Amino acid sequence: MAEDRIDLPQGTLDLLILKTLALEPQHGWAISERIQQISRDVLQVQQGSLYPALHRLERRGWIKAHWGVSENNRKAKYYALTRTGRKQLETDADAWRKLSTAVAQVLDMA
Amino acid sequence: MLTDLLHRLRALVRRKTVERELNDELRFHFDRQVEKYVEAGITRDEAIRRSRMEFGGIESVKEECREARGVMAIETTVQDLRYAVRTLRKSPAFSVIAAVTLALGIGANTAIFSVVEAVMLRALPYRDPGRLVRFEGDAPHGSGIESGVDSSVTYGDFAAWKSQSLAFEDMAAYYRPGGYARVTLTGGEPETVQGGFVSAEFFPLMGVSPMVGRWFTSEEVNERERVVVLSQGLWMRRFGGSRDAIGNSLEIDGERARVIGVMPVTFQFPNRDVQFWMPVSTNRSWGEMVPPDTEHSRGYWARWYVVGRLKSGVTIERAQAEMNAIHERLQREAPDPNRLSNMRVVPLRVELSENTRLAIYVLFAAVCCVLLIACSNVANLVLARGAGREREMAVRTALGAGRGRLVRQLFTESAVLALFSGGLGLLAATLGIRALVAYAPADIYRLDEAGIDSGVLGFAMGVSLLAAILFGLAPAWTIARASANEALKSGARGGTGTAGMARTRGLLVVVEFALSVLLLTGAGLLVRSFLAVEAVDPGFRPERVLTMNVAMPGGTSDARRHEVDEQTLARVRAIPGVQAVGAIDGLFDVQPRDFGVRAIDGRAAESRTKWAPLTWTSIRGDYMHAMGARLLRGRLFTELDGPDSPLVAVIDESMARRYWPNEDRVGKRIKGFDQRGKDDDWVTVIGVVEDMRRHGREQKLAAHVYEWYKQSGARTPDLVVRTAGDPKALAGTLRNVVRGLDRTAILSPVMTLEQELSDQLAPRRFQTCLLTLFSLMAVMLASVGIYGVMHYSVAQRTHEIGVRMALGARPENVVRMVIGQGISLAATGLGAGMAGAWWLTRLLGSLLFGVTATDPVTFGTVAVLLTLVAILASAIPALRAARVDPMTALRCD
Repeated sequence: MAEDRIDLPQGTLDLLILKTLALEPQHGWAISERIQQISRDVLQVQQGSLYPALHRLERRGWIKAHWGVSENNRKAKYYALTRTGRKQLETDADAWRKLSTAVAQVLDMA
Repeated sequence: MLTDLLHRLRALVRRKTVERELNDELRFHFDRQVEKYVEAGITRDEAIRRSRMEFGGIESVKEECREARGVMAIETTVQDLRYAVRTLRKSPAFSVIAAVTLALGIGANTAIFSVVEAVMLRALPYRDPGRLVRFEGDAPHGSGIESGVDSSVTYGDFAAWKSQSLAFEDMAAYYRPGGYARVTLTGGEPETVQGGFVSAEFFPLMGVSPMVGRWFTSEEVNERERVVVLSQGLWMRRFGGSRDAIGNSLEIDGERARVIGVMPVTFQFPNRDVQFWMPVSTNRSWGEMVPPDTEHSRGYWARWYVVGRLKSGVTIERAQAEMNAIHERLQREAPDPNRLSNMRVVPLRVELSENTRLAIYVLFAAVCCVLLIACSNVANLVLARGAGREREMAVRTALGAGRGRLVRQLFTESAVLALFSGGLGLLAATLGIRALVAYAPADIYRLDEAGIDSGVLGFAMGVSLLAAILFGLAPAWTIARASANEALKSGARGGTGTAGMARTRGLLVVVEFALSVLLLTGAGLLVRSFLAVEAVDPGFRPERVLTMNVAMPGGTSDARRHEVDEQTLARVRAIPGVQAVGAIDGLFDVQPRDFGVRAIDGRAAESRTKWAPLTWTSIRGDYMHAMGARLLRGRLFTELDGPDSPLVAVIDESMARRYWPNEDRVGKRIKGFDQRGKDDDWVTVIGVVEDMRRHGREQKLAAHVYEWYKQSGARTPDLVVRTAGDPKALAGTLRNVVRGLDRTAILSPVMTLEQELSDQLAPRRFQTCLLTLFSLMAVMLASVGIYGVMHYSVAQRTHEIGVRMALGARPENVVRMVIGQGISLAATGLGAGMAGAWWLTRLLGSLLFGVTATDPVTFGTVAVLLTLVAILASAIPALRAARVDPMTALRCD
């Protein structure tokens, strides 16, 4: 399992967080779980990079935080996408797709 | 952008809340992870263990979150500040020593800077002073001006410039300081003062309004109206600062002048001696404006200084180009041998003598050296303490603090220390400035305005921060670089200090010594110069001699003046205890100018190019005996040498050497330009006296021709009285006797000749004392530095020394080893310093007298002295090392 994991390129984590939050507001642990699940354990987000990223995104105003009650009935800090965050997600996702397509094309070149 | 800012602000202002939230958030994540593992069927303990492993360093996660929040910079600074203050308070000995050391350096720097600022940097108190210029040029050779650069022009040239130039808004002329600008004030206690005789354009040009009344109009200047604008000082002295002064009158040179205004205290143009301003046309020399006489020296005709105001937007260069053209045209159309050979346009600034400027630069460089030494000393202390803090740093690194973070924290400590020291230094500077102003010789213009203002405050602050960078950064880097692992592994509580750190500390001591050598050599050279100046034989015996100047108010008849001079001598001679009394025209106040004699019997006339300093002076009574001058050949004047007998002169050796180097001078005949020279009579030399350096022992000798008062008709206002006993006991009597003779006479304070000579040396004494003081500070700091390094090194090597002694090393071997180490550090610094001093002392230039810049005696003394200091400073740690008990040393861990 461990050898299937890959490190996230710089900036990709932000994109993944935004995408995760686009579905619904989540707390930090759930975000990392969700990313791990959806990527079938390929992407594993370390707390050491997750939380700084969350705080950075919050500072930029792309996400906002509020305290809520978690699924296990505890106080947790939930993050939600803001309007600017949503726009940012669109541009970033677009750029990412273009980039990955282009990279794939180059790599698949006969 | 706004959210960003608000976010940062909230994080900053509600630091505690934000911090708690971060804690809660991470805690929740951790608990949730544990829960997940437990749900998956892992035991609780194992779940916690695994979660912890995954989580990694919680502190570093927090740290990164804080950073991500973007308040790091401010918040950590606050944190570091608190931490710094706490750390500094925890080690008071270190903090006090460091603060005092730095405060000395910063204080000295600030004090000298305040002088630099007041004297050199601060804008002159005139309207738009940047556009004000003055003019100077090189004197044509043989024009009677000794120094090559001069500013005086003829009134005719001034008028021509004014009408022909386009680059200037206006120009104004004023009578050059001294000479006819010195006048007597009568009514009340009579005094001689310097007046400003200025053209009509002057006040509008300078753009400073009178604080009371008005300035004079061009009509008043043209009409030669005797109207006067007072300086604030004169206004206070004569009128008690009352507004009634306006319309009142003042007696200047015996004639009434009507007061029309008072200038503010800051207005001191052309210098601070000037007590009042009057129309140029009211000066008593105004009537002597006759066409140029090429035979006379230019000093006689060109007596006007000019200030100009550039039109806005006109550069100095453009004005200069225009002046060149005008000057050339004048030379072509109206040639005048007394005109300066060129004309330079110079921004108006405080004019400092070359020596004063140089002295200020030297002193400023000196205090910078002192500060550098103080900084390296403190850097050394920080390093020594840093060695003890290695474990603290290692622990912090292990807990997740980055190296940059550690450097920043250490640097904050330095900055706090430096700013605190800066505060102390400012206090020291305040006292220092007061002392400087009080003890400085009076000849430095605007020095009394030195003080702490915003500029000086900013400087002190800047210097403190610079000091923090200097003494803080290197140690911070060295300490933070020291490997965390090493420090943690070595069990020693104090840490061992890495080799790199020891090298840095050694290097700092070397630098301190090198700088001390520079300062001490400079100071040594100045001290030697001072002693050399003092050792110069003035050519007369100044012990037990009193002097006093007896001036008569303007308007006194020549007959009355001579009567007063004659009676003064007679009455003073009658005072019991007086051995000899004489008088001279200008005892100290002589500026020997380049002159020649008009004719020498039996020889061709001397060309102007051969001219050299020469002075004609009239004497009266027993002047030569009163001064204690030795007659080398021939005879002195007697009362038989009268106006109708053949003209005679006594000359000095310089004069004799100049014209008759290899023959008997007595009986030779000359014709001069001055006084008697106006008649075409030969003057016969009757005697030769020793050279007398009346105008200062540092000045080069000037040839003197002494004339007898009866023949020259000149006044002899300077009284010289040789007494049998203590001269001061007679001072009061002397004054009373002369005062009793004439109520209107203007008497200077009675001085002893020794005091006058000593006053001539005041600037040199002051510079020498200050530089010596700074260099002693430097040496003291450097010796503390070397002591600190040796002390620390011995403490570090207690164990090693113990082993050596257990193996049979004797105490004297240990002492020799430690002292040897100290000396080798000092010697390296000494070598570097000597090399530097060899290059730099030549910059002292004109401050040196009688020694070369590479004087071997000075260099040798400095080397010996500093070696001794190094030995003494390492002796105490060495003796301590020798007392190490091998048993204890080996046992301690």
